[in-house]
Amino acid sequence: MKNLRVSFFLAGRSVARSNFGIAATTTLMMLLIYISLLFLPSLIQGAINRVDVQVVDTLTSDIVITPANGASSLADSDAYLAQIRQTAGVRAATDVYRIGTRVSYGADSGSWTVDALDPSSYGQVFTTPTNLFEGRPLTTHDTDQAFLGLGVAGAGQTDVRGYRASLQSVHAGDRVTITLSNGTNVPVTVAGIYYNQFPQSDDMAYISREEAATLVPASADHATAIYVRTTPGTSVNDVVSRLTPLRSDVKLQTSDDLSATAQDQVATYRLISNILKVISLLMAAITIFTITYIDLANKRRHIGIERAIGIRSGPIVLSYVLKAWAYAVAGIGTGLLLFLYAVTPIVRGHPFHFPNGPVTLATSWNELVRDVVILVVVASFAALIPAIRSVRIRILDAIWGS
Amino acid sequence: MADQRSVVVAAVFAAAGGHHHLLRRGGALILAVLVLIGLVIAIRALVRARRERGHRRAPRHTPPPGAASAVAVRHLTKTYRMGSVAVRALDDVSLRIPDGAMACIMGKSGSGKSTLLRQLGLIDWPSSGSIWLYGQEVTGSSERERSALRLATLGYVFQEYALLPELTAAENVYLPAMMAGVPARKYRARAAELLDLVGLSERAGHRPRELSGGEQQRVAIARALVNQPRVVYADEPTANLDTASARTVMQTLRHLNKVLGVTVIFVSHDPDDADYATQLVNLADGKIVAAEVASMSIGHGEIS
Repeated sequence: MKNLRVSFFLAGRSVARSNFGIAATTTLMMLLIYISLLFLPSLIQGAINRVDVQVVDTLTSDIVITPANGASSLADSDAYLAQIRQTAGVRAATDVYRIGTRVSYGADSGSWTVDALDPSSYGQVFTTPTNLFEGRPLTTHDTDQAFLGLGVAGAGQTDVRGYRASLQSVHAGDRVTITLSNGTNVPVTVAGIYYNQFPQSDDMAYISREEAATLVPASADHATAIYVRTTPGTSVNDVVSRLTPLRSDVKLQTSDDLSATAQDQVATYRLISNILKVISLLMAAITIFTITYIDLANKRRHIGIERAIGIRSGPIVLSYVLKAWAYAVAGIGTGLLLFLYAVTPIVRGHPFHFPNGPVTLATSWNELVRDVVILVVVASFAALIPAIRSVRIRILDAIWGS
Repeated sequence: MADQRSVVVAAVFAAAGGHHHLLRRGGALILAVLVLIGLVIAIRALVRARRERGHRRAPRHTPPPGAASAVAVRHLTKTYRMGSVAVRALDDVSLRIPDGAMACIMGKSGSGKSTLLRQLGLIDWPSSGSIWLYGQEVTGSSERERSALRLATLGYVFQEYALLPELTAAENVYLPAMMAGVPARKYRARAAELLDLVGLSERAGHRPRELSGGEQQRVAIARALVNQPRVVYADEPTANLDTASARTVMQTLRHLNKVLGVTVIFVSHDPDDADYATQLVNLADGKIVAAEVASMSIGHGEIS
């Protein structure tokens, strides 16, 4: 107890009465290290979150139902869809029918997926109809109308990724030609262009199911895929369990199943994030070590005096660790406030533009606290090692510097 | 279609694909290097600790005659190595200083007087010989035991004051008492009392840089006394002081010796300081060459 009292006393007096410039610089270094420890991993996490949201909101929804056994479409899809909508935990469901694979505009053409959708239910499952770039989304009774992704239309947006592969100058109101799966060319007017800021879902085109029924009668009451959005807070797997008995000739997959091939890459992102953290921690350790080492080099005589008057090595070493803690806590505390109330809001207001769209910083309290603990532990060791080395020097050498 | 979409989703991460195994190996390598560095540091610390223990555990000696004196040394030798040259700073010194004495160790610069005081004050290790403190041999005591003795039994006043600059005069004085486990109220009162004794009660809240050399030396004396030691060593306590301050410091030491009964052993090269001593030892070339007090025998070989 008395050792602790002496350690706190020495550390407290040293921090309170040390050179303000050195204390401020040390605190600032810790602040910068903590922010660098948080910033890049948070940005990577933000990018991962962005991808997760985009995938669910514009590509897969929560559950995707497709034909099993190699069938190209599900028959009796209307009745099946009605059953799905009545299932507990289902917020909305919609179906699409793959009707074409090619879109042309004048002499330009390209291969893009063309789906027939039900405009009234599609908007309840996906956000695509609300992400308008030009014109308007499809409505239920639209015929002779198409809804194109910006990746298909181009719309003169030369700075958008994939522009060169698009039709480049198609705008709402222009006439384009859709080539159906049976090879028939159908001219349609572009009702609107959407922009999800997610290249994979921006490279698609849609017509209404009512239009599809006139062009391809076989599409009526058939679906290539059914998309299900679950009620927030409901377990997706529970809903899958409830849907499974409804029909046996289908395959049910969650968005996680569908992005399984992407999980390895997500793990890579996390690994990069962890390596950056290790590097930041090494920087922190080296910085604190250097600061403590210089501090101790200047205080070697003091340590010699302290030992000569009977202060044991343990309390002296602990006083330097406590001092490092004080600087670490001051730097980390300021860094945390700065990160939460300055950096994060600024990035939210001015997000980074990744290929998948705007990305903001994402972190959790668990991670924030974990990083604080790690940094304090690193600070302790970084102070401990030079402090132990310094108290091992003979008293005579410490005081008179031989 | 769903399968196609999953491929599309995977393409989002394509830029990072294929490198994760390499990165994983890189992370493992960094961790392995860190663990290796930690192990090397730990092994070096252990080896050094064992070596130091081996060095410092000197054999026990039979008590010399008069070992029950405050301080006694027998056949004390200290050799420094300066490159390939061995310099014998103390050469077979034997002496004893009775309890309550005020002894002055004199000699020219380089005579070995400060070296002797450092051996007596347990802040250095002799090359050979033995040191006795109130009948107990302390030559081979561990650093922990020495710390305890320096804290409770000995007080040491350095030539260069050796105050901690971040502490006030009062804090400098009571720090050893705090280490000794004295309750806060008591050590504060004791520090105030001692600062009053050395005439610095008005300067208790001042830091060393705000004090004159003489004042700093008196604070150092007060600090040396805070745990009520039986022996106080002072290494040229007046060397850096003007005449008036030097006189005050020496009078303070003499006063403490007389009033508190503390054994004081001080080093000086100023003949005037010898006037304050009850016993005098003269050193030259690391050997005791003369003593002016009958009660203290001298010589290379044996104490009388």
